[in-house]
Amino acid sequence: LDTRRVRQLDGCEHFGWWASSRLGTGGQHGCRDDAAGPDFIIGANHHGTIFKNFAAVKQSATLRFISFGAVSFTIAGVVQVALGIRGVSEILHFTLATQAYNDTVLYAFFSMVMFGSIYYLMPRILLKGWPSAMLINVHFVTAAVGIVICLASLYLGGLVQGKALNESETPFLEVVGLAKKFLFGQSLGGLLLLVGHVAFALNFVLILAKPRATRVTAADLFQPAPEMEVAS
Amino acid sequence: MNRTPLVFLGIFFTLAFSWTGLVLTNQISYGALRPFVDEGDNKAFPESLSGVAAQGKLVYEDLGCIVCHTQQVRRPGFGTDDKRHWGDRQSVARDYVREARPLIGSSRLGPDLRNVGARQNR
Repeated sequence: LDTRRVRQLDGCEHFGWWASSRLGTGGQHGCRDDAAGPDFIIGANHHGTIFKNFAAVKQSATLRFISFGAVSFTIAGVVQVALGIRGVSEILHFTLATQAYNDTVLYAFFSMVMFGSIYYLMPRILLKGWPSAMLINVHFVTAAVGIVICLASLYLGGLVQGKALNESETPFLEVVGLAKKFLFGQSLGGLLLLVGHVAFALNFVLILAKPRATRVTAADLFQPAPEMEVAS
Repeated sequence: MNRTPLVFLGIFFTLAFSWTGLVLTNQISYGALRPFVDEGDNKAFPESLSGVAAQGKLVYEDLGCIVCHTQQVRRPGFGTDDKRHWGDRQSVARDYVREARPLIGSSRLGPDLRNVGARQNR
């Protein structure tokens, strides 16, 4: 028996499948490289398509969020593999980097894809366009910048914290002190996310409250409706 | 074209594959793990928590201590857990065998607390 087996007690995410492997509770860095293959295949496919059609990404709110999420998915895959490497795990295990990885999966990938999906679905379900393009832009910019600040602070903080933890002569309270400024960075990013979420919520309430144009019929649901997604 | 069977089988095998890895293989590996009985001491290890310690565990859960504390010690030579006196050996699966809810944690914003009783007793 070794610690690796103990880790399996909650290191369950390592046998998941694609996104489900990303959505595990996280925390334990066991063998995490199993999902890397599909990641890179999905990633290469998606990113190639996106780079050929970059104008469309700038146009569509949905595509912007989805692309951000897709790139994050690939990054999460790379991080997952890295965290499985013994030397990396020795430093980053149990540090802020663990939280950073979870945030990469849950926010930078999953939430961003969900936001994009909601921006795509709502106009088609309600048969109304989004009321404010500005609010969507605010949401995207704050969410993207906010989560990047969060992740940068946490990954960097994890590295600093992990290195200090592995110097046995550094007192523990000093290590906690080192983590502080990175947590401040995370709060800053979180504040930006909050602004984005308020913009999103406002737009969401507005689209629900907005009257429906008389000309649209249920048949529109089955038509492509690019004009419903607000172009920036 | 009716694709229901294909969709069903796809979902079924996806979930079955995850279940095999998450539940079945772990059950095969650890399902039969029992406390170690030391004939000399006539005791079974790990020992079960005393009443006060069990109450303490409830407080630990209630306050969300798990957010910043781990309860798993890394092996000597891997990290500095032993030098920080968090434990003389690494944690193993059997250590948690009596715990319905092992609180092993994932972040060390605070120190590891697996053996805190032993070191604060000194």
